Amino acid sequence: MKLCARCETSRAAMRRPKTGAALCRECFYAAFEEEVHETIVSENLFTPGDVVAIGASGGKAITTGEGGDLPRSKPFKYTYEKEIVMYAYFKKLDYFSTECTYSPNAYRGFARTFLKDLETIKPSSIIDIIHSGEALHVKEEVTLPPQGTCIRCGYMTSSDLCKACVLLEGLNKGRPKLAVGKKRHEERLRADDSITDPTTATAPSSSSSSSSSSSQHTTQGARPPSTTTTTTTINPKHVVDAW
Amino acid sequence: MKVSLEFSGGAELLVDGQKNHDVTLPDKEDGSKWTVKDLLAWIKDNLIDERPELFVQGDTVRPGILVLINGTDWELMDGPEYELCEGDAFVFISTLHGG
Repeated sequence: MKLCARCETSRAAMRRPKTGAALCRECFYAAFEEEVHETIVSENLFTPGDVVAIGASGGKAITTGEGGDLPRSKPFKYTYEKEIVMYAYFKKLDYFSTECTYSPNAYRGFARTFLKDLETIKPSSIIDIIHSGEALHVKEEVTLPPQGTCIRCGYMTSSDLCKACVLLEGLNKGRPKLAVGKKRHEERLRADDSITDPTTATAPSSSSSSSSSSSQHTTQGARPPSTTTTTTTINPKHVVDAW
Repeated sequence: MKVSLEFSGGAELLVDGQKNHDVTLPDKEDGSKWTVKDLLAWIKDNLIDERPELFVQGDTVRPGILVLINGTDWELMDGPEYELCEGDAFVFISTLHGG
């Protein structure tokens, strides 16, 4: 039997991937809670009086509240997955997972497997990657797109139409590569004829009247060039999803 | 020898969606003691229908699956080399899920 490295009296229950130390349950709880608290304080995640919604999810569903989008906060961003799961298991917290039906061949799965393999060799490799992500330098001339709402469905988007509406439009128009293909390709398609704003989408089809197709052209021409320029953008929320 | 197995965090999906399994392990032919390594091979052969690579990799579990032996992290208990005792409780928790 191995004794806890911290209190040196109780039996050790787990080895921390972060430090390699073997701790008993109580000392592990204390260290875990202290470090999550430290993350919350040092990253200014909350201010007094904040209303905090809690959802144990890494998925995108959590980003949308009933009244719109909620800002995400990540108190577990520096916490090892093993420690989160051990904490939940020891504390008998309801811990369940629902696998997305479409996830078995999702690319993120390959990335995650790769990370887990790295962690087997060196547990801190995940923190090293988070550190690299946070240290990414964004050139001054790079502009982040302002968050707006989709002109069609109202969901948040950095463009005039959200990705889902573009995807749907592509499917409806027999252009399945729209929104999933190369951005440049997509923009060429957009510039061609596919995507227009809702006012022209409800207009009679171009085959029935030649004037409507010319009005579509006017709309396309009026589109500000900024929406089609290729700019390197980085969404800071998605650099590394630690949980 | 009787031991209990618990699969959670999504690992139960590999064993018919059933979390708890009380199993009886046969004596080994060479008379040697059961190790966790042997247990993993037994689980692979007897409980997992398809895609065993999602649970076992070589002599150990797939990276990202946590193992507890009688409530203690197996990393503190010789890992795959741990020798089984009658009534031992094993927990396998997958952390590879979501998305």
